[in-house]
Amino acid sequence: MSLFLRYPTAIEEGITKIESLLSKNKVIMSMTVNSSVSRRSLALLLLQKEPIFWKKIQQQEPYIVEIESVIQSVQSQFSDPLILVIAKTRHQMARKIEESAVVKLKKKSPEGEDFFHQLTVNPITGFPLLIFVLYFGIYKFVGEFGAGILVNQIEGFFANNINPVVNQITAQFLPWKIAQDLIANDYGIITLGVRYAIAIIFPIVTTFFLVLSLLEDSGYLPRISLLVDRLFKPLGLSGRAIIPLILGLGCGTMATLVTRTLESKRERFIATLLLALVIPCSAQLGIILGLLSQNPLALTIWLGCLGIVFLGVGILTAKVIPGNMSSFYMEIPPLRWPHPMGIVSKTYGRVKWYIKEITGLFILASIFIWIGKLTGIFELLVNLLNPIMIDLGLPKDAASVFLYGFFRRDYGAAGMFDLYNSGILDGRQLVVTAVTLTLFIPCIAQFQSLLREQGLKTTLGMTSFILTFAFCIGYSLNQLLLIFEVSF
Amino acid sequence: MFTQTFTVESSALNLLKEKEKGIITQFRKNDELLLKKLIAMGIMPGLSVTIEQRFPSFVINMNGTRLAIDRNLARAIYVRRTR
Repeated sequence: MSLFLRYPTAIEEGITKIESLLSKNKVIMSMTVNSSVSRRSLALLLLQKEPIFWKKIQQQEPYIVEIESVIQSVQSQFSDPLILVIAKTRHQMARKIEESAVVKLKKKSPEGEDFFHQLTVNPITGFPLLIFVLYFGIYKFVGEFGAGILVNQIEGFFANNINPVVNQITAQFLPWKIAQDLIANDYGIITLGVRYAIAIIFPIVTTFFLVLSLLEDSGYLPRISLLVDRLFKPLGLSGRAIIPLILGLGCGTMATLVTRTLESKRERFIATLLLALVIPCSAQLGIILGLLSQNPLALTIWLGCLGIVFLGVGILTAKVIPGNMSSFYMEIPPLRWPHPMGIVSKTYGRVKWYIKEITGLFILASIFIWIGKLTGIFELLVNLLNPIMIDLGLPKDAASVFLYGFFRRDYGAAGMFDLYNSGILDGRQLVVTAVTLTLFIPCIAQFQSLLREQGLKTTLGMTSFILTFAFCIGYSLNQLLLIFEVSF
Repeated sequence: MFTQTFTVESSALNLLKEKEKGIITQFRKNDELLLKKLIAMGIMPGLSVTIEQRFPSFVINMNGTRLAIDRNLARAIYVRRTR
């Protein structure tokens, strides 16, 4: 069988005519030599009015009028658009090849797969299953196991075994208090930066990425998309947006880059805004779940606040920003048992990327804090934030948590963990801090990817909105809790 | 006296009931963007589709490939109902 793709005669004639017109153009010809794209392919692109190439050729092609009239005369011979005619021909060819090459074995019974597929996509069973998966996967495994048990173990090990040793060694070998503080004591590189990275962030991120890989490899994520598509439409999003949003529960930086897969500019904007504002990253999520899980009311208030903000901001932005509803389409792959090795290597790769990303920043943060303390800038900033802390009903020490949050969301959350453990925050203050810190501006890394995806103007606008909004919500929440005398 | 195995009834895909089948005949005209999307997904005139589910999104099956589309896209695809 010949593999030459022959289009309907009228199209072939059109191709020949355009090819001969193109061959008179030196610029185009040199292009074909350099990129080894054949004239035939270029002619086909023109027939389909491929936007990028069309624009290019419009500027420098002397025979553009002739080419256009060729295209028109070819189009007049078909009732379908040329794009479709060409695609159909290709598709038929592909099917012919498939038929000759693929041997169909006796149909294996897809009973089990079909049963589970129905279970996941039927709204009656699908939504409870989704909640079940989130409850056990995220809340139980990441929140209670990762952020609770694992963090406490490793953190305890650091506090009892590593920090005292480091403090002792630096005290012996470095005679100056200032130098000691850089490495050890309350804000040292090892006692704070490395401890945050290894004892608090690492277990949470690992457990989260493990769950995420499982969800991805089983083929469950596209099924969540199709379930939530209708619910997302009022927010100006399609079901597709659930994937960056779920990824955002891991790391907002990665997720902001993934919003590229969304269809329209409008959808990308809304998704990045929600990611920056509402969606906590895995470290935040883990720490907050871990701290609040002892108190169901506090957890409900935190979740409720985020839910209301998510819906409210989503619906409002969808109303304000012009543009059409994006359509939803997605291939649903078969459900599969994930391959253990695949899960492990995927999780390993992601955790490695993450740790590599943060370790430097955490060390840098320790150094900044050290410099800040030394020069008094840190104290100045804390004092600047102090009135806001008073408005939020928070102790003065909480300001440092928000300062950390500027560096990395997870760093701030880890700071909150420390504050609560040392008894500085009470129940109400913990809830207010948790909500404000979750809404609070994206960290430096996410800020960078925001900049890359949305440009300077949008990023600055978004960030200043988020900053004011987060503190306003924190303030109102504190007032409400005081008025209704909610105690934890 | 003729046992008809297909109908000539043409309808938009979103009007088919669950488990009903059809052969794609054409797409809504004058929508280049939509056409490109459909082509990219491999939805082509001449293919047979089965509706697997209508809510919350449309799930269609074409030769064993499962696709989820929203109502808007389903409305733009016209099919000839088959049995």
